[in-house]
Amino acid sequence: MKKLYVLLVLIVLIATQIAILSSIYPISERGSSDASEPVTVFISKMNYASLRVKVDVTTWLDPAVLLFSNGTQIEIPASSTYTFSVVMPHNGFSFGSYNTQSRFMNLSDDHPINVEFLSNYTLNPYWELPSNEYVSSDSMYWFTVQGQANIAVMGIGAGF
Amino acid sequence: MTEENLLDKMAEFKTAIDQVKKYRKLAITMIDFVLIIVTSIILLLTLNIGVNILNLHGFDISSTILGLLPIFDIIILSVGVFTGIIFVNRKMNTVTTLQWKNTLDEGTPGVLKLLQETNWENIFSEIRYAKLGFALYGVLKIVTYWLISAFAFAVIAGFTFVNIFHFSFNIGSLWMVSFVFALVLNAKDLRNRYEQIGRLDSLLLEFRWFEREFRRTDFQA
Repeated sequence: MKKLYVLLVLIVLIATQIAILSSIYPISERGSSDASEPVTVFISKMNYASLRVKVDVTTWLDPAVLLFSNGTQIEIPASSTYTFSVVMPHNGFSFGSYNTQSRFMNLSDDHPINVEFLSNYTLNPYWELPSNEYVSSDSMYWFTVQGQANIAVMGIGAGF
Repeated sequence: MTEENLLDKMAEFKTAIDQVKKYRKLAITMIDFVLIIVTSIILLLTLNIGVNILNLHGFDISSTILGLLPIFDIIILSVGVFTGIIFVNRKMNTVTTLQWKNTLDEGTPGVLKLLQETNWENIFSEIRYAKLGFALYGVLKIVTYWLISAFAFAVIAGFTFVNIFHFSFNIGSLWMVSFVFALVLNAKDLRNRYEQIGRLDSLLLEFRWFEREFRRTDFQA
């Protein structure tokens, strides 16, 4: 009988582990920009989620320009790869269920982390950002690539 | 009933009881088998969660380790299953058998002594318990083979069908294929188990008959 209780405890432990494991999301998104169409990459998450991604911007025959949301810009020479990391830690608790859908952000309880590639985006995303206990300005990061380049966003996110 | 017949019958009876004792031990050990399997599942989940959380917190885990993670999972689960099977076999081998041999060598007096010592109700209960353990162990073995082969097929399918041939792979068919594979691997064991359970049923009937006969037969030395 004692062993059955041990088994019960272990089964509860497995169920908890499966819940944790299913809240971890691998991220692997790819896109490309060209000279006539700059691409803006939006990385967003729910406040309660966290993520760490590596971004590779690979140019081909021509150089490209990388514009960050704080106004910094970097020129990437032709035929080279510029790599940087984006770390967005857990920045708030929220209770209940929520989902938001816009052209640069598609978040829900089942999908708390999102990466979108948008061509010719000219607005300031903060104007379109819903602000509540689930999503805030710290839950979003974006950059724009001007010129012909391949963009890869790879990493991991978690709903905790 | 002649003495020779009687000794043969008694030897057959005691051998069957020894077998039942082993199956009863199997039923008792089954919980340990489940605990070993469950512990190995906890270990593999802990490894997966650990690697992902380290990755999330910026530890540079190489893509080779991440790629090999499913293979580690299969190894951990396989080690768990084989440890469980070895543990169960060892426990079953600790059951002492043939203890009645010396008493039976005494002839009819030995048979009478053995029969007098027999607790019939206990034997009937042990047979029922042994049947349950025997059947459940079979089911459990198929389920664990199913899990391991599903993992193995997922890794193989990932490497070949998806990465090399670029086929999209349906997870439902993976479970189905691995289930059939587990059944095929256990086909012989399944048939033996089915026949053994049938034999235990007839043994139970035979013992009931034997008990009644014993109560009313006058043995002739």
